[in-house]
Order: sequence, then C-alpha cells, then structure tokens
Amino acid sequence: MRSVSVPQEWVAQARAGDRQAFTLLVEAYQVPVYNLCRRMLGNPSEAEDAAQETFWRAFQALERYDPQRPFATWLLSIAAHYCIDYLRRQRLVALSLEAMPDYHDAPDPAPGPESSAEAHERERRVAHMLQTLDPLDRAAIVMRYWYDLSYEEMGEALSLSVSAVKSRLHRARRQLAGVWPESQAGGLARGGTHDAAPAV
Amino acid sequence: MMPHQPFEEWLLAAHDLSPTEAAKLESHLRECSACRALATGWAEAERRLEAAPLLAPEAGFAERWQATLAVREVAQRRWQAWLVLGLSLAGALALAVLLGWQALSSLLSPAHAAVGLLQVMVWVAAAVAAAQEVGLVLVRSLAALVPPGLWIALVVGAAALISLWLITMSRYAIQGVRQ
Repeated sequence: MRSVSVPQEWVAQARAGDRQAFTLLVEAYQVPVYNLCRRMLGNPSEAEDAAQETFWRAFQALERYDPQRPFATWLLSIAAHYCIDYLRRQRLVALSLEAMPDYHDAPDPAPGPESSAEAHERERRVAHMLQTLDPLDRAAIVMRYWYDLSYEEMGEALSLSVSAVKSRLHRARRQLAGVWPESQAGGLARGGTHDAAPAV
Repeated sequence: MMPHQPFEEWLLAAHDLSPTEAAKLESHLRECSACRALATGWAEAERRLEAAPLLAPEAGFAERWQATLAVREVAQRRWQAWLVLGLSLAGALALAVLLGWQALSSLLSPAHAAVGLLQVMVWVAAAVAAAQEVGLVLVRSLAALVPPGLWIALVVGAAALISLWLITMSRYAIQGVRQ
C-alpha cells in the first residue's frame, strides 16, 4: 500500500477510550480513507462526508476491532462498505460523463512538472473509468491499485471469498480495458488534451 | 471463430506468465485483433490506475472530525435520553391503561371494589406490624451484642456511602450530560 504505519499503542490507547489517540489515528489515516471514498464516489464533498462517517463508525466500533487484524485494512473495510451501500442507495453507477464533477477544487498532493490542467484531465479519466464499474468491483480495483492489498485482505475487507475477489478483479479489468478507448475518444471529442505521454 | 481463452485470462492475469505462455500469447495477439484491442486497452487502463496518486482531503480534516464527533455525541446522548423517556412514557401509559381498566371495573361494581380495597389495607397493616415486631427484636438483640463505638462507626460508614452514592449520581446525571 502507499501505506501508513502507526504505533500500535495509538490503537490500544484509542480502544481504551483515549480520544486524543483516536484523533492521531484520524490524522494518520485520513488520506488513505479519503482516497478510497473519493475513488469510490468520485465527488470531493461526498468523499469528505464518507470519510468522516467512516471514522465515526470506527470510533463507535473500536471495542469490536480485533487487534490481530491490520487497523488500516479494518478502516478501509468500513469505508468500502459504507461507499458501496451509499452508491447502491444513490444509484450513481450509471453516472454520465457529463455529470462528473469538476476537479478544480481537488488538492494535488503530488504536483509534477505537468500543468494542473493535465493532471485534472488524468484524474477525470481515471474517475470516469472507475465510475463505469459495479461498486463492489470498483472497491476491489481501488484496493488492488491504491493499497496493494492481498487477495485474502481484500476478501476480508469486502466480505468475499478469495475466488470471488479474483473473479471480480478479472471482470473489472476486462471492463476497464473496454472503457479506456471510449474515455480517450470522449476526451478528444470534447476538445480535451490527448494525454498520450506516459505518466511517471 | 478464433478462441480467446486462455489468452484473455493471461492478458488480464495479475501474475507473470511463463516463457511458453508469453510466446503463445504473443503469437495469438499477432492474429487476433479482438485480443490485441483488449491488451492495448487494459495496458493503458492499468498504466493510468498505477499512476494515479492518493488524493488527500482538504486541510483541517482532523479538526473537522473533532467537531463532527462533538456534535454526533451530543445527538447520540439526546437520542438515548429520548429513548429512555419514550420507554418510560410507554411503561407509564401501559400502567395507566391497566389501572384505568381496574378503575373501570370498580366503577361497574363499587361494593366489590370497596371490599377488595379493605382487604388490601388490612393485609398491609398486618405486614407493617409484623415487620416492626421483627425489627424491634433484632435491634434489641444487636444492641446487647454490639459495642457503642461500633454502632457509631456503622452509622458514619452508612452516611458516607449514601453521600458517595449521591455525589456519583449527580456527576453522572448532570456533569456527564454537560460534557
């Protein structure tokens, strides 16, 4: 994972009721949790609410947390389930490209040499690709490509068997392979920049 | 029709292919335009996924979390208070219905109700008299056995326990809610 490691004492102290320790955990895991919500929901405002809700649910469920399990995976599991339920409720799966949010308000945590317009266009295309997937498939792809979770960890986080995870990843990859040319054509048709340069 | 398996499986597999598999796949891709399109599309999609950064929330997320926590805890306590109040009201309502039903029955038969009430009062009076008798016997026996100093210590201890209980209850009931 583009992972975060925190002292185990923080988790233990938070479980013992130390709010300050839990706030330290929030600070440490805010980016992974927010990123998952953002990749799942596509919208900065909804992602912020979902991330806050994730930490609230985690805070309430701390007594049920199994310390043998990685805390990050447990948090991501809560976030993924919340986003999947939210998407199913909101029926955002079929969100059209035109309805995609602008990314002008999105912070760029890793500014590169290219212009922010190109970065935003790349983000828009990635978001569009993800939005075409079923919520559970999307969660599997996000966990695989942003967090490098193993099949077992993904299965545990998404309440799926390992074979179901593999099957969903395969289906999602097949779908994404088909989406890419459409996304490229769509971007060109709207006069967007043709991002042919390999990303670093 | 050209078979696409296992080539499609290999194209989308997360693991590395053996040299034999890679050679077979390469040969198949030269002939199959559908699999070639799949390979190109997936390679580009995967490249974009791997290049996409972790997106961060706007600054001040932890502070917003603390504010949210405070608001939600107040809301949760309020909800719990309403739940307790609702359950108490429901219990009181059930009791009122029961008593009302009894009262209605008594109104329909006042003589029977008066006899029943008298019987209950006699029973309560007899029970109180019996308890008084037992209590007096116990106190007289204990007074003879326990020295006066121990009596004083017991009374002081009981008073301290009652005070402690009152302080604890007031802290839970008033200060806890304020927090």
